[in-house]
Amino acid sequence: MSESLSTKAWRNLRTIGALCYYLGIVPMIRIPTLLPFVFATPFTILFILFVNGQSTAFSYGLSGAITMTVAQQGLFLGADLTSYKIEHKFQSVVVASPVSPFTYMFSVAASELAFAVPPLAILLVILAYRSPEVGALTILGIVVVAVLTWMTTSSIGFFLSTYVLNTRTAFLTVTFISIILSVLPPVFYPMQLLPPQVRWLSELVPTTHASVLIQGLSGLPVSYTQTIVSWAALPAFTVAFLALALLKAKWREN
Amino acid sequence: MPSIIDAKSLVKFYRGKAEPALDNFNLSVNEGRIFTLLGRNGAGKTTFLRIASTQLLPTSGSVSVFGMDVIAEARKIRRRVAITPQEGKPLWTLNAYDHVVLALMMRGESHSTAAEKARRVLRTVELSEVAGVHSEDLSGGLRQRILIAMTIACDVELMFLDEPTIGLDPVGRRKVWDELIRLKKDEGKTIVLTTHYMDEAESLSDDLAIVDKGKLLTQGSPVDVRAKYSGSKIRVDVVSGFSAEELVAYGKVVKVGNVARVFLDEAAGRELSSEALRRKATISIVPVTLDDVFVELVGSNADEEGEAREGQTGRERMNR
Repeated sequence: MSESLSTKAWRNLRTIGALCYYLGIVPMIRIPTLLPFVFATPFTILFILFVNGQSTAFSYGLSGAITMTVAQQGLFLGADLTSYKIEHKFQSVVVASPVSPFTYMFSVAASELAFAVPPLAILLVILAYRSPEVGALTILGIVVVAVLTWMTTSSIGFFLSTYVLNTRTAFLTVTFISIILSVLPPVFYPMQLLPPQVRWLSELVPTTHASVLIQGLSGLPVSYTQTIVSWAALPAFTVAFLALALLKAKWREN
Repeated sequence: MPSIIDAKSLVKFYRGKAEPALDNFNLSVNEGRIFTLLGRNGAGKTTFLRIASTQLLPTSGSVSVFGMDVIAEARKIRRRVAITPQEGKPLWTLNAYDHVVLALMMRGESHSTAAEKARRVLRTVELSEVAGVHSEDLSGGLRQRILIAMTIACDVELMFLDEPTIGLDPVGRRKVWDELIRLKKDEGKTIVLTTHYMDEAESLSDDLAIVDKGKLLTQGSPVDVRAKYSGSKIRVDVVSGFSAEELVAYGKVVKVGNVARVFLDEAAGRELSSEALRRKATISIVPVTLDDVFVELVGSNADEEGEAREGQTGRERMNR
């Protein structure tokens, strides 16, 4: 007898809840010393901008730190999934079960996001403290951008994890891509600082658009055209990378 | 008895490898039985297990599980199977209880049902006392038992266990055997496992298959396989008192370390033991074991492949 839609949905929710809780929340509660690893890089860059003493640079830094925290956690999905697959063989247990690749990817990505919540909360509090005009709507807008960024980078992470052959390579690849996505493009600085001839390159990076949107939402000057472009580009990147992850990633090995 | 797994002309090539991991492999597993795949490392046991449990795609041929094709109907099969992977490691931040609850909730069980089942299964595999200890603080054997507990808890019709008792102490192994036998007898489960331990295969299996270089060498009950391949009825292990040349007169001789194993019929056995008594030689008489059949079969297969070295016994080749 086929399962009703509501039963199936309820079953999937339980799967997502269980994986997210046991792979994300439980480790965070039991080993809180893991959290500084999530904070480290974005907060270090922010700290440098802070001691540099330029208020505007620090404001851009806040947008960059929010973007980097989320992007980094999405990409870490790739490293963790590789470890679950190769070291623990946990993915074998999941593949030979009714859990779909999408449910697995979404659940583990959500478990990674759980680690990003405390640093994000701190960054949003700093943002609200520094810019009193930042209201609930702005926070909501930033959350939407953060979710789209997380979905994009998680898809990249999932895709990579299905091809990478060892955990060491996975961690190195993820760290490298994290720098490519968060440090080189205009994530911690305004796009105008880039020479015009390479500016188009930064438009090809999803985190550029995420940071530009957060910059705009937090009151930093961003052109109307760029805002429109970024609001169109970021969801487009999300859809494209999600499709890539689901269609091209190898779930069952061949 | 209906078959639950049917593999026909199965071939599997891994990318970049010239030799197939499975080569025209045909196998059937009957429902409600414990079926063991025996073979050396790289023989193709795990490859077959992974294809049948829908983790790996075959290159050609077909495998049906519950009458459903493993490629076209994998999702339906996955609801009815569970696996213990080879050399799996529990997640270091979770304890045994968490692992079992996660395995069940992942399959859609409610937390209360999962918790109740987890406690019961952990008692069964004797993990209750360490149920709350992080897996990283447990011994290798206890960690392995967590993985087995996750599979057993799923309460599925067909379980695939890839070298499940590796790393377990003898008592732990027997506890797992008892539980697998109970699951088969009381609950009608079908269990497919791989192992290197001949005593495990002999004690546990209703049926077994010996696999080497991706080929099925033989299949049947342990008794049938022994009867089919051991031309001799008994084995005399000679420690001292005879030269190899003398022993050849009684039967086939295989040197294993300091012991010469002589495979012979009852009459020759009586003759050899009388002579041993007269010479005060050290011998022991044992029935031919599955281990002997395995060495015979896998050894001769290696000979056919041209890998054997002159003067070596099958066992010596295995130990290389």
